[in-house]
Amino acid sequence: MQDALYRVVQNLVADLEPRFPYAAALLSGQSGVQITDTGREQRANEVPPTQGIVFTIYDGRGFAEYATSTLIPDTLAREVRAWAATLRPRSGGPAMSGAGYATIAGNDWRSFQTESRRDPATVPLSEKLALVRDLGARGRALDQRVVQAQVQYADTNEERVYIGRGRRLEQHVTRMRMVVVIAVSDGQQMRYHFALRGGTGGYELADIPPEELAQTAEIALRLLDAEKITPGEYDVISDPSVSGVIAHECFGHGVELDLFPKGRALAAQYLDRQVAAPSVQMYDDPSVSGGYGSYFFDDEGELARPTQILRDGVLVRPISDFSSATFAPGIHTANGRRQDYTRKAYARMSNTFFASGTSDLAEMIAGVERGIYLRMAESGMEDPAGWGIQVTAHYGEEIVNGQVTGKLFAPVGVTGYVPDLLQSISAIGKDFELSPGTCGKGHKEMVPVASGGPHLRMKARLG
Amino acid sequence: MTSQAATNAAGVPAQLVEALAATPGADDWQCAVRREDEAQIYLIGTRIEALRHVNSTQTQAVLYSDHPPASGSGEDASPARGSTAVTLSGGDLADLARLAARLANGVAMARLIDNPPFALPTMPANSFPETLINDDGLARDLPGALEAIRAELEQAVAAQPEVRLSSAELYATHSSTAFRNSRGLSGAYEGTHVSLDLALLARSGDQEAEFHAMISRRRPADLQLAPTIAAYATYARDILHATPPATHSGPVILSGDALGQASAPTLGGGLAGFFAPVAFQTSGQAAFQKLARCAPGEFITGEEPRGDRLTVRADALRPWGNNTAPFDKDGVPATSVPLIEDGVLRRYWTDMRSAAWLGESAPTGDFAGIALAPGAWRLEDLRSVTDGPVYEIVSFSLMLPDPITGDFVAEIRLGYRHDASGVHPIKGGSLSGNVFTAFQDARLSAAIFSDGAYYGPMSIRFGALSIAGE
Repeated sequence: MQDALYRVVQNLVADLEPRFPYAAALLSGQSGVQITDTGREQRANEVPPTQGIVFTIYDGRGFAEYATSTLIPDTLAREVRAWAATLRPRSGGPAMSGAGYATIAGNDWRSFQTESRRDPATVPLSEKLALVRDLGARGRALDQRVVQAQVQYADTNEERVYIGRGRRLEQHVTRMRMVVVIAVSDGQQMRYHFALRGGTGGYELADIPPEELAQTAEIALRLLDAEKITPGEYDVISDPSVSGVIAHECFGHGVELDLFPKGRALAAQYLDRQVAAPSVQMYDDPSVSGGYGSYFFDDEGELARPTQILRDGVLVRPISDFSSATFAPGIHTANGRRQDYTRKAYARMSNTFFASGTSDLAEMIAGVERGIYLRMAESGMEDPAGWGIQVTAHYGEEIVNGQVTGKLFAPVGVTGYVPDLLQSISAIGKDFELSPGTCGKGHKEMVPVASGGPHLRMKARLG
Repeated sequence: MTSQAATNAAGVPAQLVEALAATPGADDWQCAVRREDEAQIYLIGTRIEALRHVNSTQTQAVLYSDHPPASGSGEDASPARGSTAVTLSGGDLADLARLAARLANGVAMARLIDNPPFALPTMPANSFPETLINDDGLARDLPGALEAIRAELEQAVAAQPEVRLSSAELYATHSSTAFRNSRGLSGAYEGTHVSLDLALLARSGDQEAEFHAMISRRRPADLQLAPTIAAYATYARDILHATPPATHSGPVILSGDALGQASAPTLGGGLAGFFAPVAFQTSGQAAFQKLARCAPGEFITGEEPRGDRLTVRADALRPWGNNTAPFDKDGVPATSVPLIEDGVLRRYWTDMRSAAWLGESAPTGDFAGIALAPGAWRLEDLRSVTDGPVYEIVSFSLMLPDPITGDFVAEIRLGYRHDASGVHPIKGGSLSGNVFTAFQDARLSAAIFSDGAYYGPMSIRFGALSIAGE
């Protein structure tokens, strides 16, 4: 059945290729399991497979796509031929650009698979449930003020087959994610804190050690006394998760090339110009081993490789999908991604991060007279056209005279003008950490990503 | 235009029903088939970047198993109910042996899950409620209807001085849902959506500013494109001249889109926006999970409100509501139910599970839309600067309040400072506060606003919120 489907898809692409400047197909689907345990309720479900196929052509002026969940070979062939019969090559559009960067070509299948010590598909559900239940039970037992410890676990095996541009690529990417949320109450109010794990890899990633669980509960309890921060500009230290969301929102979304021809990216005017402190290096890299946003090739058959976005604080390269590399035009990077087959491909991030520097965290904190240590990013929002930024940290710790005082503020929002923020970076930690997340384009088109980097010291407006 | 809440379950494959009924160990089951046909247009300026046609079918079965709990022992081992959702492909449905194996695996998974018992809904005595959700004209010709919307959008933008269309994504969707369960409940319905994700650019000299918006409705007529685009164009032009706000602690008005949810299945669905904590904290799930901040009979705001009191309904019946449907994901008939009256929590909204676990006689069904009773305030009175400046926010970068605590921090995309010298556009900085505390001192406008998921006051003035500005 699978072989018959692949043959039909290959034949359909082969029929389309002579007619149009570009034709390709992407088969996609996923399998896995999602578990949630709150102590009062358990859920375990298969990951919705969202299995389907999308055929793409560039007709010389624009793109057309046919996407369907029909994977019965004969029916699929009939539907695609009927759709293709309505299409005609046109002229007047830009010549296709960025078609030749991938190095693998030829008709041999190339197959890629995430390395893991233990494939989660081979782990019995009973074992996964036992892990989740045990973690939740231990969380709930930590303190009598714990009202709930919720554990969420998910493993997903994403399958992609790309046929086009002389390439036949197949990948199986396994993503793991586990979150423990500990909610506490003093009878008056409720607060919570969380621990998060995630990456590409195997079941071995599903591990939150006891000391981290205890620390999560301890922070949740301390948050019961957290205050609202007085709005204003502060010296801040961001932990790697907050640094990562800053990178993601500033010059992740800000350099998505598909926004350039729409006039929605101020970055178009700042290529090769200084936008951050000279010590700042920033990358998007889908080839990072273990990154939650990693893959071997993007949804348009482009092989994963790093893109340096900021070099010494200078904006040097945007990230692109196939369409934007054609229409902008620009360098074609391996960032064409779809939420699933029902959605269009866009220029999307993968693993986005600041590179490490040379500073010790202790030295960085010691250099702050009055400031805030921002911890645990919650969310962020981009503004590529205006270069505003919004990042919310779960909490901030007060720093006075180079020491954290133990006083917490929650939540803490970071806003400001992107270049002001990045040019204020005065120290870059020598540590490095990636955090898993989900990224939308605006408010939709969700894809798995990672963001991170080292600790950073900068000035920011908090509220 | 017509709509219906059909009660036949045409569309659930017979072999699936037979296979579910024959699955050993499946003490109950339910299945849903959702078919979707969608046309999509992507514009860069007025040029078409891409045209897409999407059709998809998703078949999901949920299997229930009643069993002694694995975690229980001795006298405490009361029966447990487990469930698992299994999504089936066309290949699964075409091969009966494969289908049986997939369902058996689902039962095996469900046996490992220990939850308190709950019952599946049975067929309602009076059938499902009538709901207006399907625009026949749109359903009949998705590409044609979408092309007409594209032309109307282009015309609406062209009528606006100093503003052009940066880009737009247009979606026209027709979906059908068929549902059955092992308790004899069956139903089906069709619905339509039309959604736009658009960015307008305003230019003055070499300055350019963007206003981005998402709109979703059940039918094209409700998009009200000309007045909506005119309003968004005004926002885009105002952003050109906006300045950062001053740091402020005091009255702040949220208006229009800043209060709404822009929630629709095609745009991600779910409960979003400023009222998400209200939806969560009035849920039976929050109560059952011990995360609810108050119990029925108590003020949702904690303290007795000093201003207008909230009256809130969970409304799954509103005609042409984005998430309106005759029944929810479990087949529970849609209702419109008061949750908060005069500021006091009257009851929780409940799904099939939480209703049983809280001892409710019947579930209300899922939360599909929020309806707030309007107040009596005129907009000009809300904007009164007699006691000092007032900020009015019309757009945030992302309003994502914490559903448990109600805390929020959101960057201001566009707002206005009302003061003795006039009205001045602002952008940047952030608004912070707590949704529940904010409603301790609120004034609700008489004017109404709806975005398809939120129906309520056009503007709400809160007495004490904080702006982090310059």
